[in-house]
Amino acid sequence: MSEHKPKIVALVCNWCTYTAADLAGTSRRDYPSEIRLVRLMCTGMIDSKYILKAFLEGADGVFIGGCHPGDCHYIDGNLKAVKRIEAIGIMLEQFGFEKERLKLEWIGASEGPEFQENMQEFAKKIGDMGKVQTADRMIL
Amino acid sequence: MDRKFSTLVAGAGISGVRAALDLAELGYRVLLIDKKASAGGILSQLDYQFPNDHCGMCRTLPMIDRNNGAQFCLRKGIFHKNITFMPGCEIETVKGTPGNLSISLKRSPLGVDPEKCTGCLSCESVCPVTVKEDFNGNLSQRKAIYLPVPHNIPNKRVIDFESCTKCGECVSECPTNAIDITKDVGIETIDGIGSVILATGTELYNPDGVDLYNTSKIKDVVTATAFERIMSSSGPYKGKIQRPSDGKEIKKVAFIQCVGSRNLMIGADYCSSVCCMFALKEAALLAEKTKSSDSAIFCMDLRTFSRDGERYKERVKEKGVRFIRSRIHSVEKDDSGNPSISYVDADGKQKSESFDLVVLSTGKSQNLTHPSFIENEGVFGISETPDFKEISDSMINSSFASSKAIQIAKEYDYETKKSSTQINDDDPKLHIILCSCGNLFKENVDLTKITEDISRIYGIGITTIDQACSLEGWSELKSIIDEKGVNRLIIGACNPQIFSTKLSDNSLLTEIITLAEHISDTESVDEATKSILSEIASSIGRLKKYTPQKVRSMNISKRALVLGGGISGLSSAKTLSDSGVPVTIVEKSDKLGGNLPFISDETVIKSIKNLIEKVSSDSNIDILFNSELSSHKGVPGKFESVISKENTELIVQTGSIIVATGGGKASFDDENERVKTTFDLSIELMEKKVDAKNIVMMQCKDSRVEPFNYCSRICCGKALDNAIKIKEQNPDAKITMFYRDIMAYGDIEKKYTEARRRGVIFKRFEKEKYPEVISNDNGFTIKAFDFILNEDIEIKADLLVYSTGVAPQVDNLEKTLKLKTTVDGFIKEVDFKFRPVDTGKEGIFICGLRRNPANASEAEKEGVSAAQRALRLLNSEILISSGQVAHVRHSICSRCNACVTACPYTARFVSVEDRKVYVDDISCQGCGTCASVCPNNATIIEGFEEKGILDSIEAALG
Repeated sequence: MSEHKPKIVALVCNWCTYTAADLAGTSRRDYPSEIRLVRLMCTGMIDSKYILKAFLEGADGVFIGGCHPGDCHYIDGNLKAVKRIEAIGIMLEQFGFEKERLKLEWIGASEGPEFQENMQEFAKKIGDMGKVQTADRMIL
Repeated sequence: MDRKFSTLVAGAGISGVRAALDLAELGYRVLLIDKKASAGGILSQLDYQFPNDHCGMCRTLPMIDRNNGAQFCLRKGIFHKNITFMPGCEIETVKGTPGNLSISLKRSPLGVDPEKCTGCLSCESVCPVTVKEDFNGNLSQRKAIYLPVPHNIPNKRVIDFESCTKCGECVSECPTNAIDITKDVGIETIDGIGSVILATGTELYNPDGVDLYNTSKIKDVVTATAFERIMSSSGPYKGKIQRPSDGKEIKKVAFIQCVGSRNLMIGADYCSSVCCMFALKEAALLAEKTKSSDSAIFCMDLRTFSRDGERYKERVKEKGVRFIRSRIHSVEKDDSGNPSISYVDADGKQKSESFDLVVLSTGKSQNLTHPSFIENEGVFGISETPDFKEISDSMINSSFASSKAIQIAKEYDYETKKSSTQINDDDPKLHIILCSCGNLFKENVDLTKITEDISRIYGIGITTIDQACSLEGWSELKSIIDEKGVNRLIIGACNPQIFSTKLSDNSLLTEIITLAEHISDTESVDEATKSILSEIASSIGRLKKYTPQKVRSMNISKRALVLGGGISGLSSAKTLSDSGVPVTIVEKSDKLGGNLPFISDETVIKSIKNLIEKVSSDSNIDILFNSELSSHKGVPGKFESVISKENTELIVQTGSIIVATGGGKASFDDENERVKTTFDLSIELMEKKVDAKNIVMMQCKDSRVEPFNYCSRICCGKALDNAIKIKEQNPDAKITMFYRDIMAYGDIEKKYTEARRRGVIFKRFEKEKYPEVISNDNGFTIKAFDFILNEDIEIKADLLVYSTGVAPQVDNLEKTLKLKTTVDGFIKEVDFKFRPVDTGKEGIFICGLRRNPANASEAEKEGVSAAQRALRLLNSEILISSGQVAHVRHSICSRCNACVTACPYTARFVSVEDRKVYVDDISCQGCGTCASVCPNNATIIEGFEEKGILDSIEAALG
């Protein structure tokens, strides 16, 4: 099998996970370069379309990072995201994407190391899973 | 004369930040100082807070005029247009009169010029001095030149001159010549300041002094703050929960309470108020993080006197944490090197138990006093003495202080013009500025490739500046913006957040990229270049699609509605009226004062009567007696309330509503005249002697048990007052008080000591075993278990006094105003710690007993604090929208109302006139929940338009 370098998009909330990413950055905690961060204000803002778009654009994995329950700057946006992401997971499977390719994790603002760990872990898992099987069959 | 700052706030902990924001939000300029090199106070060391065991500090940030402040995690630092932060400063003297104070500040040199420092770390690597890092509870080490708070931005180094040897290594190593070790402490005088708020907090007790617990000898005995650092992922062990001596994972911890507090031996006759909750939280966190369950809290009382504290304690107990009633005398090492504690267990047996770690719940340092300039007129302290307060109390107290500062700022006309920046809505003209950050990015990134690719693919100009954070770099950046007529800017730099505040006044739209994140030791130059290119592309996508909306302004009804004429309502009304806001008070009964008849403290009575008089004679305040709120509609700034008053209805238009309907004694009925409540007894004692000889006081009657499972906070203090008064009248009276935990927080502890000194007997009982009362002809026999004698006892009494607690008013307001309540019926604030008087609905605030049990002075402060929050809306005649709010495209909206239900701020409503869905610009915080639930894409979030985000995602994967 040829070397497949996975592409991963991380949709992160401005208040917690982005801050954690920033902290990881400033404290020189590297995370895999194949991960691209897209900052949004809140995970509750994540439209199903964003996730589908990422997969359709060739992402091998989509990571979503938000505040811990009870921490959301916008009261409960993160909890609304949970339900939506669960639903999208089910949909993804029907289109031939393993639902593990979509992951939601709570990473608080001070959790730079957790951010790094999560990113490494997710990148490794997605790397091990290889290419999306249905990728070649998808028409954009 | 220079009159730049309306107020100087000394101390940049959470109290100081709150006070500074209160003023800044109303348009007053504030000078915020701290003696330390960074802002944040003790909270910068604490990652987690009760009751959700996480953070929430960002909720302190402004919600109206959001764009004046930075929109990111508050733990990183405080950035607001009207706040200037000066680290390393202390007040020396205060002279002059309010409105024109002259303040001399002692400025300690920081050693590093923040304008020049790039945070490159080269100074740290050459510094030969290594000292213990106090930020991490002395468990890790740092250099003499260091970053005071790891998560602060900008990440500028400072020098700790106490340990610096002035060897000069760093000076020659610094690539930007930012370091100067020759400066001395300087005195700087600032004139024309309106007032001073002293928010300097307190010092934590240092257990090394009287080293009862061997902190200096046993490494595994640490303070609570140090333990908090151990559990923090930015702490000394990077989140690995291990003990200092041998790195073993921590599973079983002993918390020793009241270290340095409640100790007459060292003259500490006070309770530090927060340590019990602190220990509970840490025990809960540890149980959660390590899945362990054998920790123990050694305490005399467990003072969970905040509204939700009791239930929280029970949750911690369910996690397996033990609460052991014992005052620990010493900590020794056992044979295997673990710290070990000897104590007497519940059965009276001597026991020795070893733990992985011992945590000392250190409270405030004793007998500190405020500096003498607190006496100067125009200087307001947040507390009477340097004190340790729970966060929500700190917030309320600091708003109380800032309300006084605002009066002065208003009187002496310090206000600045309110403005909201209109983002330039011409066709997007993008430009990219990359900072090469000395040599850092030149070496690690292929800047030429980035420049070529960007101009080739996107046709966008790109400039590299050598050091954008330096003064020269900044002016170069400004000239590029002007020359090229740029209205959309992407800045890539090492720590670009500083630009967002610097550029916030401009009408251009900025997107900021942290370049440092892309550079790593393990990745190649190619990888870093690719990753930066992708992020730039992603930002271009978002900025191109950004459609700025017109800044809108809204006229508001400059009047406040205060529901309830009790203590908190009166103080609210007074504060608002003093700030020039007309007030309507709606009072259910026919008089003001609320619980005044049940207060027995002469000074409090006097001050409430004074308040009633002032409010009654205030022409700016209308009072409607015998009336209630019957219905309500509208948006913040324009509420319309219907008040029913004796069969008539009248409509009041107000900009804001303050709920202060209070509460009162919990209902209690006993026919027997020898049975009284603590409240009734306190009133009786004001007038006459109690002739009973044997008095039994029973605390927590129908309180702290389901269904009233909360502590009423005030009964213990009142019962102690009663006991002392009876003893004063009749020293021979026998008083026995049955209690579960004496909630003598703060200085109430002194009363507890006094009562014991006067011979009041205290007997503890367990929740499950309320003492049994048998009444007979001569009085009562109380049967209980004595934990000291370890046997059942019987006590005879001829007067029985129950502490029955308080309950919130039943007024249905939660339904009328659609507010949330706790299980106990108190109206719930939106965030217990950080926004204690805000309800979830903008414009509606809550204070006093309707929110939580509180004594008169606490209720008064809450009232002022609520008024303070309302002033953000009512201070001026117009409100300006913040931008970055949601908009509805009515043509494609199917009016399914999904967004109305989803909005966490109830900012969306269906108009009665045209049945369309509208967004209230003031309430909307731009979280985007509505956009993601909309099935038709009818909602747009300014700045996060769907097309822009989709382009970003595409670019990120390109």
